[in-house]
Amino acid sequence: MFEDDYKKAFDNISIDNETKERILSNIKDSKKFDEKHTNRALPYRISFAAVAVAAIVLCSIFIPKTSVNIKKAGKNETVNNLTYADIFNNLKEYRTKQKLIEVFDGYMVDEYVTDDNYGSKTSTSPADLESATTAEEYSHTNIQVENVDEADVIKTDGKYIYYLYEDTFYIVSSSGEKSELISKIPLAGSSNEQYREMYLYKNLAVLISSNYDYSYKYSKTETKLSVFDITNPAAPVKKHIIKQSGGYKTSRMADGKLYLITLHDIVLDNIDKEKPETFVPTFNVENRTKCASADSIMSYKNICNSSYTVIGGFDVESGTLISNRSILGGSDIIYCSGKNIIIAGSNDVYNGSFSVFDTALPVQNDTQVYRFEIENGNINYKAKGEVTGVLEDQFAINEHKGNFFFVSTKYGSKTSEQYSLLTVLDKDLKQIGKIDKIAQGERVYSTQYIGDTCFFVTFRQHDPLFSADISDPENPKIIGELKLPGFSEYMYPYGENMLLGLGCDTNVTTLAIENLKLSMFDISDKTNVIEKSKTAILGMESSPALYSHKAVMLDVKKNLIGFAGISYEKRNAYFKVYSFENGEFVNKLDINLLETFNKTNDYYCYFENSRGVYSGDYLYIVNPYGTLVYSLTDYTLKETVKF
Amino acid sequence: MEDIFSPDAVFNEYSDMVYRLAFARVKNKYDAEDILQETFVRFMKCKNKPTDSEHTKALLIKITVNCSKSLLTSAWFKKTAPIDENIPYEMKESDTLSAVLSLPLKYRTVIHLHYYCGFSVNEISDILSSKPSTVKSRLLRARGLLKNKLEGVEF
Repeated sequence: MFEDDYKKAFDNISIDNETKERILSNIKDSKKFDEKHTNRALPYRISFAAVAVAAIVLCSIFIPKTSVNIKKAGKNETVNNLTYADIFNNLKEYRTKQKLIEVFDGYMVDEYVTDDNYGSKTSTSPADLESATTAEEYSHTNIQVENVDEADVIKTDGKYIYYLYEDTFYIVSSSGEKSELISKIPLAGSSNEQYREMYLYKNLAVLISSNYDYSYKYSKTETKLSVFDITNPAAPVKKHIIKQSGGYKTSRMADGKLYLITLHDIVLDNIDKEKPETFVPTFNVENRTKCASADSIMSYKNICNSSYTVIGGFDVESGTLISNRSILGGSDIIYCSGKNIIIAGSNDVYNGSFSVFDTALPVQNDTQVYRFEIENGNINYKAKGEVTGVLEDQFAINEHKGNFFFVSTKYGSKTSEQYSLLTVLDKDLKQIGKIDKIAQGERVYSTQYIGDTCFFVTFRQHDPLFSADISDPENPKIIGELKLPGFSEYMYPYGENMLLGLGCDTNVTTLAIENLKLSMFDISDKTNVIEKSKTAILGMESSPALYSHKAVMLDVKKNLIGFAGISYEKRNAYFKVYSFENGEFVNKLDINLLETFNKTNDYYCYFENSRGVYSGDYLYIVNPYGTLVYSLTDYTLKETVKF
Repeated sequence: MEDIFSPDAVFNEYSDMVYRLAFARVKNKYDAEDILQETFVRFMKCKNKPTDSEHTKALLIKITVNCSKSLLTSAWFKKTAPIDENIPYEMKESDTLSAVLSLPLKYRTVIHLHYYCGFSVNEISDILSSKPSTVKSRLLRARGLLKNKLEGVEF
C-alpha cells in the first residue's frame, strides 16, 4: 500500500536530538524579541489568508513557468486593436480550457510579502531645520542604467535621509553629529497594505504600496502611489493618491516620469461581460476610477494565463496618469533603458500532454520579450520577440546602440543539457545575432554590460567569467574566459577598467557555499580579464546584497562598498564597509549591529536589512531601530539616532 | 500537572511533523531545519493560540506551509538550490519517497498532508485556502502520476 510505504519512508526522516535541542533553545531565545520589529525580507511573516497565494507562488517555483496552453505558443500571435468583448471572450475561452485540464494560472505572481500589522506611534520631534545643510556628495540608489532611477526603501537628497519601513516613513536629518529624527509618519492603511519602496523627485517623495487582497477574489489587489510634498520635512503634506490594479512588480523613473509595473490577476469565476472592471485593469486618480481602454490592452489569441502586466506612466507632480498599456500574460523581468521598457516573461509552450509533470524539473521554455517605447510618460507598444532560454535578472538585458542584448540560460531536463547563450535583437525584436551553447552544463549567474563588452559569469563546475564583444551586433563573439572558483551574484562597473563582483566562494568538490567574497577584476584588456584581488568576507554567511543590487551601497568616486549581512554561526548581524586601495580591498568598517544598537537579546536576522547611505563625510546606517552615524574620515561612531 | 501547551511540550509533540512537512516541501534537511525553527518562533508569538491539539496541529501546519513558501520564493533559494539536483541521500533509499518528492510542489504537498498527516480533503482545503475541488483534483492527479512512477502499488 502506498500509504504505508510513504509513512514508513517519512518516519525515517528526522532530526537528531542534538539539533532538536539547539533549535528549541533558539526558539525560546527568540521569544524575547519584540514582535514589533519584524523584518520584511525574512521568511517569518505569516498571513494565513495568504496560503492560497503561497500555493500558487510555490507551484510557480517547482513547475517554473509551466502554465498550460493547449496550442503551441508559436502559433500565438499577439493581437492588438481588441474590444472589451474580445478580451472577455478570450478569458472565458481560457476558463473553459482551464476547467478541462485543471491547472493553476498565475505563475507570474510576484513574491507576495505577507502583512504584519502593528500599531505605530507618531513622535514628530522638534526639528531644527536650520542645521540641515546639503552635502555635496551623497549616496544614490545602486541602479542599473544611468539616469533611470529605481525605487528603494531608503533615499537621501544630501540633506535628509528618507526611510520606509513597514508602514512608517522616517525622515532623519543627515547632519553628522547633529543628526536627528525629523519625522516619523505612520502611514495608516488597511492591515493588508504593504509599503514597498519610494522615489524622491524634486520636493516630492513618492511612496509605493500594495494593498493585497488575499481573499479568493484577489483581483482587488492594487498598488498605490502616495505623493508627499516634503518641502518641510517636519510636516510632509500628502498631495496625490493614485492607484493601479495589481500587485507591485517594479517601477522606474525616467525624465521625471514614473513608470509603475504591476501584475493584475483576474479571477475567472467572477468576470461579467457588462462590467469591464471585472476583467480589465483599472486606474484610480483623485478618486475617479477608469478602466484601461480596450486599445491599450494586448492579448494573445490563445492566452495561457489570466494575469495582466500593467504599465502606467505617471506625472507625479500633477498626480496624473499619462498613459497606460497592459499585456494579458505575466512578466518576469523588467528592464528600462530610459527610452524603452523591455518586458520579458516566459509564455510557455505546453506540449499538450501531461507528461511534462513526469520529470522533476519540467523543461523551461523560452522568453517572450516586448518592447515599449517610453517618452514623457507616454508608453507605446513597438515590438514583440523571443529569446531562447530564461533570463536571470534585469542585468541580463541591455540596450546598446539601438539593439537589445540578452544573456540567458537554456535549461534542459538534465543539468548537463543546459547552456548559456547571448542573443541580439534589433529594434523590431528580430534576432540579428547570437552566440549559442556557451558553457555547457552551466547556468548564468550574473551579467554586466560595459560599452561594447558584455561580461557574464556562469556557475556549476568551471565558473568562468566570460567577456563577449558585442560591438558588431550581428557577430557577437566570446573574446575572453577567466576560470575561477565560486561565482558572482552581481557585477558592477567600478571606475574605468574595473569590475566589482559580489558573490560566494564555493567548495570545489561539494559546491557548498563557504563564504561571501568580493572580487575586483581588471578589464582593461577585454580579452584577458584578470582577477586582480579578492577578499573573503569572513563571518558573514548571508547578505541581502546577494539577491538585490539595491542592498549594496556603492560609490566609485568615494570608493565605498557597503552592505549588511548575518552570520548564522555567531548569531549576529554586521554592516561592513570596504574600499579598494592600491589593488587591495581594505575593510574600513565592521559594525556589530546587535551590539551597537544595544539589542543583543534580539533576534539577529532582523538586522539583515540594515541599509547604509553616505552624505558628505558621514555614513548613516539605518534600520527600524534608528540610525548610526559614522565619520568617513576616522570611521568612528559619532551619533546614534533612535527611532 | 504538566502543561501540554508549554513550548517544550508543543515542540516535542510536533517538531517531527513540522520537520517532515518542511522536508517534503523544500527537499533538503538544512532548509527544513530552518523552517522548523521559524515555524515555532512564529507559533510562540501567536497571540491567541489554540488550546486543543487538533487546532494546534492545523495552525502549525499552516505556518510551516507559509514559512517554506517564503523561503522557496526567495531569490536566494532559487539560485542556490537547483531543484533537479537537490535530492538528498535519505530519499534515494525509498522509491516511494523519491517518487513523491519528484512531484511538483503542489502535488507533493497534498500527498503529504493527506497520506502522512491524515487530513481530509476539506481539512486540506482549509489549510491551503484552496477550494475542496482543487484539492481533490490535485490528489487525483498526484495519484495518477505516482501510479506511473510506482508500478503495481495500490492506493
